[in-house]
Amino acid sequence: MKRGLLVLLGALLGLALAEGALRAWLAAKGAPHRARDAEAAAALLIAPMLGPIPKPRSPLGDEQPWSGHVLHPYYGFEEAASTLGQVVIEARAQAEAEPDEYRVLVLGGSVAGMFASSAGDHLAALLERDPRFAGRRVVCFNHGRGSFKQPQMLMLLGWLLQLGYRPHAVIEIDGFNEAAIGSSNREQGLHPLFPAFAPWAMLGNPGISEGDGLDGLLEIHAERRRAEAIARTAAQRGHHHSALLSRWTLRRLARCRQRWFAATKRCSEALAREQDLGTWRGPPFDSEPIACRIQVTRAWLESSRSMQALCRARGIHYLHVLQPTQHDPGSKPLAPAEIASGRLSDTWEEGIRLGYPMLRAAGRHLRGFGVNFLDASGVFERVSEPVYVDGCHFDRHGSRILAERIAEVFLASLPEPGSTR
Amino acid sequence: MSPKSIAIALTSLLAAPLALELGYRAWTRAGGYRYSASSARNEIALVLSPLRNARVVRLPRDEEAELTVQFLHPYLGVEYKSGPRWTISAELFSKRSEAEYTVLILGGSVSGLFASGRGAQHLRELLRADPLFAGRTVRCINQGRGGFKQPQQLMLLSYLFARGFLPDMVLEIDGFNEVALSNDNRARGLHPLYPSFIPWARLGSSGAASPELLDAQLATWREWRGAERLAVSAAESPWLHSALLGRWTLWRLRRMRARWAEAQLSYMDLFDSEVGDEPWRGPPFDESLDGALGQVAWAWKESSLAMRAQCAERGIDYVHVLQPTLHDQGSKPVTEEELRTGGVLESWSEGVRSGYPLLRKVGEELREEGVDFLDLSRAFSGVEESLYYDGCHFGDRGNEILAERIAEGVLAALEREAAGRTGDGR
Repeated sequence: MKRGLLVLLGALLGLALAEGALRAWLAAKGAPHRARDAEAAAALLIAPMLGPIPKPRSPLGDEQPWSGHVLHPYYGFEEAASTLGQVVIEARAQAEAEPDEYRVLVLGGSVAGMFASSAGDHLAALLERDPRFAGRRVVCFNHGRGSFKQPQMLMLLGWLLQLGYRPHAVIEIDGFNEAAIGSSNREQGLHPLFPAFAPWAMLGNPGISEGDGLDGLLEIHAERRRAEAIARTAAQRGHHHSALLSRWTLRRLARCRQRWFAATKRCSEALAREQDLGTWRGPPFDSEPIACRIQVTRAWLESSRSMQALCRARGIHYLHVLQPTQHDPGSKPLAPAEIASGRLSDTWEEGIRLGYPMLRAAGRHLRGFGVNFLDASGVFERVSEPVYVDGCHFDRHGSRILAERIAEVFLASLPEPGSTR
Repeated sequence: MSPKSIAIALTSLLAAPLALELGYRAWTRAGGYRYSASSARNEIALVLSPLRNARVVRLPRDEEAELTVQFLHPYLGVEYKSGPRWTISAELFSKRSEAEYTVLILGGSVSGLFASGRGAQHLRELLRADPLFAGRTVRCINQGRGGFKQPQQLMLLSYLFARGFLPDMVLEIDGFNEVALSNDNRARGLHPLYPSFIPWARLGSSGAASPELLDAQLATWREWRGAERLAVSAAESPWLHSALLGRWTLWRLRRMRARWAEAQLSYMDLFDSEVGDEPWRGPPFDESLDGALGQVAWAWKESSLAMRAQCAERGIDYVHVLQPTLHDQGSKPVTEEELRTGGVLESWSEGVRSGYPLLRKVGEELREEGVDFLDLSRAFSGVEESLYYDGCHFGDRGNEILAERIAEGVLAALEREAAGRTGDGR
């Protein structure tokens, strides 16, 4: 007992001596120990660690051009959150619709969307004139989406049918985005069958979510929590009043900060790796332009076959239309205003110039597979007045010309009068 | 203490563990269990399988030694990549010879485990033995993915076709995830037809990173990293040759797994409350159990019809299998061991209990519409031995039984097709 007390007293005395010696040494160095300074040093060490932790994914700011777009698990993204619910409302309404309603679902990119909104009524009127539609009301449902390209429309159709969507006919209008955006995706290192680069780079890049990045993120947090605990304990026990204890605390905090810094660096590197070689860019692909065009064309053809199969299984009439585009040589006598406003990037222009002949050839194969395919790439061949408003979109007049051609082929391809259901 | 006493004490000290080891081995053998280091390694892999399915644990000398990451995919919702290997590789698109009959296997993890192990191996043996396959080789291509549920398989098939893949047969094995995970989605306010909650909330939402959420994530991370360290050190040390140390390691891993599962649940609940009502939860839906499962069963049927239609367009055979599952009442005499290891979330078991009868009913409708549908939900109904090692996965024996039933169904479908064919040459 007595011996124990002596050991304890000796230890305390030793500590007091060490404390005194350290203080004397610090004073001799011109930096005497002050509790206030020790507290401030601890606060300085810990301060950077208390900063904001990077969010796994950051929501898009309002200033971003694709803001408002939301991720969709099966076709990349949706133009607005409200559209997610709109398709459910439409599907429910279709289930309860009057039997005289004939529903035409229009799919494709922005050209298809503009066509449906500006000439959908014209198309409906043209169809209603046919005796097979006597007493029926034709309604166009517009599901063209800006920048969409195959296989996005195939996936969108699959999803709409899953939700109970029941059109009588599907008209798919495409071609431009496949040829143009497929090429620019390739150039930007994104798989040509993935959605367009700009929206997908914004929405599909998950940031820190897995592997080393997540390990790093959690290590950052663990070190922050450890540092907080050390600082809290030191403050509660008054370590800053002792030169020895405050130096010990500062050393522990410095070690935490070193580990925190290393974790931060690891996390940033993982994030940078993800950005540079990210999975969001899709699997490796043959980046030779010709190989890329072959892949895009094959996907376009196979997607159309799949859409036809989905439609045929449900008795839905399917028509696939290759849209016209001014950069397809010989497709239209271009007015000066169209040339002036129609400039596109070299990649897009080249994608169309070389891609459209391949799509036309694949369209002939589609006919061989029994797909109702309309090559409307030359629909403006004899239209000398301007219809294009920019590099790919055309005005209402152009849409009405296209609607007339579509109506003609649509009616010709309806197999039996009874098939209008 | 005399040298003799010291020698006796030392000998006893060395002999006691040996006696314990031998005694333990004799006791377990008498109970019908024969311990071996390799079986302990397998058991470690099984105990850690949920953590591996969650892509968080790497094991040495394992084909998944490189960390598998999940990432957003524009058409599948979520996709996997193991190290440098993509799940859809270029190899998939090359047919080795004209005599090769390729079977593309789709579905969730049960389908993936069937396709990557004894199930597909046995299926190949059985098919090759049939005169229909005379002179042909059978290759099974595994595209089952943990957590996948319809319409993900439909979208995957559509995407594979768009990329030019043309198998001879598509074999879809599903059921459990559709009702269990979709019901969990429903309970968490995520659309039942969207991908399952954990990956989609983490990858598809704009995320959350409050200190409290990171604490919860840190707790799961500590458990999985701890389990990984223990599994790696056990696999690399001679411990597993001792029945006692091997069982002790397994006991510790089971405890870690239980703590991980608990931490994961807390994390999910907190995450769910933090990320709020963002669009990643999908469109509005009927949140009642009956309403949601009705929609799931309907979409399951629609997906199967859509897969069949796309296959028919290309002259590809299509067979759809409803997989057996432990929590489907009456599907198997459940052993004590299966009871002990087969616990699942309440939302999962509720989904299976209420959803499997619906799937069976809808499966009959599929058959009436001409789909080669095999209801194998009762494939284990006469099997007394333990087959399941957790709430939904089964080992080699279960996969062999399933392969036998699938082979019967596939051969019958091909015979029907051959009888009805007018000689299109395939």
